Amino acid sequence: MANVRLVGLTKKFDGNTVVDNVDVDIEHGEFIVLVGPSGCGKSTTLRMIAGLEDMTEGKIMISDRTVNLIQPKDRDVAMVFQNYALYPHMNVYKNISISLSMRGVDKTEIDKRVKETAAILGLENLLYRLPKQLSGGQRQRVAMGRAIVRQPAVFLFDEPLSNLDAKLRVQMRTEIKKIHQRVSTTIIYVTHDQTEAMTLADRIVVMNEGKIEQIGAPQDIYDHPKTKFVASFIGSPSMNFVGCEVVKKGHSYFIKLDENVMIPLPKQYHAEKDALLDRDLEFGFRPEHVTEPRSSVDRHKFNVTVDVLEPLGNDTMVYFTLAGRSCCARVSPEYAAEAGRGIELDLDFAKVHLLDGVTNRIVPAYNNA
Amino acid sequence: MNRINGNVIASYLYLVFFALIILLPLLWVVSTSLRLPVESYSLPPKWLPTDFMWENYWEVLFSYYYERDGTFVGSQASANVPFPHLMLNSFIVCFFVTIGQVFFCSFAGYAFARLAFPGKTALFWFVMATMMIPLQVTIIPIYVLLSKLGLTDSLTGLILPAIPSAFGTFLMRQYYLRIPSALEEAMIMDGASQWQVFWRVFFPLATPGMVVLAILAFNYHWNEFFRPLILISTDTTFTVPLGIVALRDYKMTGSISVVLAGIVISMIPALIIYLFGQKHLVEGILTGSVKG
Ligand SMILES: Nc1ncnc2c1ncn2[C@@H]1O[C@H](COP(=O)(O)OP(=O)(O)O)[C@@H](O)[C@H]1O
Ligand SMILES: [Mg+2]
Repeated sequence: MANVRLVGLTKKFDGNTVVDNVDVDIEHGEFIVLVGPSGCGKSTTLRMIAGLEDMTEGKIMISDRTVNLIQPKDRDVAMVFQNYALYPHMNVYKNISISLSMRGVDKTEIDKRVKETAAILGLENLLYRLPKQLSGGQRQRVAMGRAIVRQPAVFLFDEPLSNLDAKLRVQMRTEIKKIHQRVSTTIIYVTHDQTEAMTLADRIVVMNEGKIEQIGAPQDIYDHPKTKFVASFIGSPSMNFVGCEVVKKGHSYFIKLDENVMIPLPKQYHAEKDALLDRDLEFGFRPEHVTEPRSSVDRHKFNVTVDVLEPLGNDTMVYFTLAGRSCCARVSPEYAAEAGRGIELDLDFAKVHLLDGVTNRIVPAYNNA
Repeated sequence: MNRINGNVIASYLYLVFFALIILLPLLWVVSTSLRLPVESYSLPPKWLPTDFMWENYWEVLFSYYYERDGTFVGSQASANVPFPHLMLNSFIVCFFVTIGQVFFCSFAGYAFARLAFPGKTALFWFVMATMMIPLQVTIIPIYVLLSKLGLTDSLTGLILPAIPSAFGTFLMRQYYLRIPSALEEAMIMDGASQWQVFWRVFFPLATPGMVVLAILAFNYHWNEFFRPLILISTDTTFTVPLGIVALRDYKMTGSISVVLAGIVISMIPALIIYLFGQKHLVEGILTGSVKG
């Protein structure tokens, strides 16, 4: 059983705060993904958990034991490095077994565990090859095998798939998930790829500039981002934002994007509608929530001119300008659209967000209001 | 003829030109070592062998041990040094200096490349600075020290001071710096001690550096003249370069064929070491280790 707690974890390099007061509670067996743009401090956080980097402030607990002063090798964590870091002069068997032999595990036990690990990863026929005789995907497996064979309390993965080509990446993603289901060890996984985060995680930790922006289940983060950063980082293509204000006409409230586009204020914002008047706001909506016209309630149709089309096969992305901002919609390929022509689009009200332009935080919505 | 071909031909001509500048003197050395002494200074120089006087080689190698046969009419400058013995001396010196340098520089280079300790940078530049001091400056203190230890005129006295090498330390440090630090971190995560990190990963991965150092050290000390000249006085303790000078000194009658024969013989071991070592210069020893 291994839970991991990060308490006020902070790292400064020469006065630059790279990881800033990070608090996370990770349950036993949980698959946690740290996601954020390059340079936001994900690797540094992971390396502090591993013990490869000293922390400036804070506390790390693994299995309810504070490990701040404990050597990496005694923390019972295994790490898979972004660049694999295989020992080039040792064959696959040796690469996988060296951690056990340095810990004095006896030969027959080592052999048994290496064979088991190789079977999980499909490396049985490659055990006596050198790393240079392996393909990228195979090297990646060896790097994972080196971690799995130890049966540690916690796995740490630092962008393990970022050196693979797109197809292999998707395949290995599935395999990592399978391995997690099989060994049910706690995994802390770092990536800059929001798709990887969404598909793998039990819970996602979104980081930006060393700080945690939001923690939550993938769907929850997708549906209810708390900040503009999270709203734009999670989801691809990212959420559209258009400056707006909330205005009152008679007894009705509208979101006014510009002189021509007025959208009735969606229901989920009615509870606080007066507080929204005269505020610096932005209107956020995801491309998949603007589509060809569909008949259902809670939708708003409007006309735009198509700037660019991007057919994806299953869907077509339509880029258009709304209130001076470039926006994107996802329509079905059959829906006739042509660059330069007008098109009618249909917005799903229930899924839109209002953003406070001053704090850059999403205005909380009340779906049952 | 297209431009690519033109470029290739031009670069070959260029290479051949410079190869000739380097190889012609060697060719003359080999040819002349096989000549009759009277022809050795012919003008213009003859590049190819004219006679095949293998006796010159016999002179170099065996004249110290065997009485000269009365019918032998070759070189007037015969040798008085036990040349095979000197080759053994040189070999012993080079062997131990090379092993010693590779061993100690592997350790020192690793420390300077990978370990953190107080005064590391200062110490490193201090070691580097010793390369700037000419041997002629330090030879007297070395001589005094060795004579106090009773090691002058001995091979040990030639070997010991040559083992610590600033250049070798620098060379090995550069090799260790090329090894990605992720390997060290992977070893640490796998439970290795500092010693295991060095011995199981860094030391074996630095072999190409060791081979380079070994070739350079062997060749340098095989050809080394100044230190043996100062430190060695008995002819049976001579190294090969001193022996070659002795070949010239004997009888001083104007023939250099025997001297050149000695030089040709002395080149052979260095050549073998080089060819042998080159095979072990494994490029790409790090292939497959890390990516990106
Ligand atoms: N050893 C170091 N010394 C100084 N700055 C560092 C060091 N390691 C990382 N950084 C800086 O810390 C920031 C976060 O780095 P990192 O944790 O590697 O980001 P990520 O993994 O999220 O891309 C970067 O700006 C990086 O330049
Ligand atoms: Mg990183």
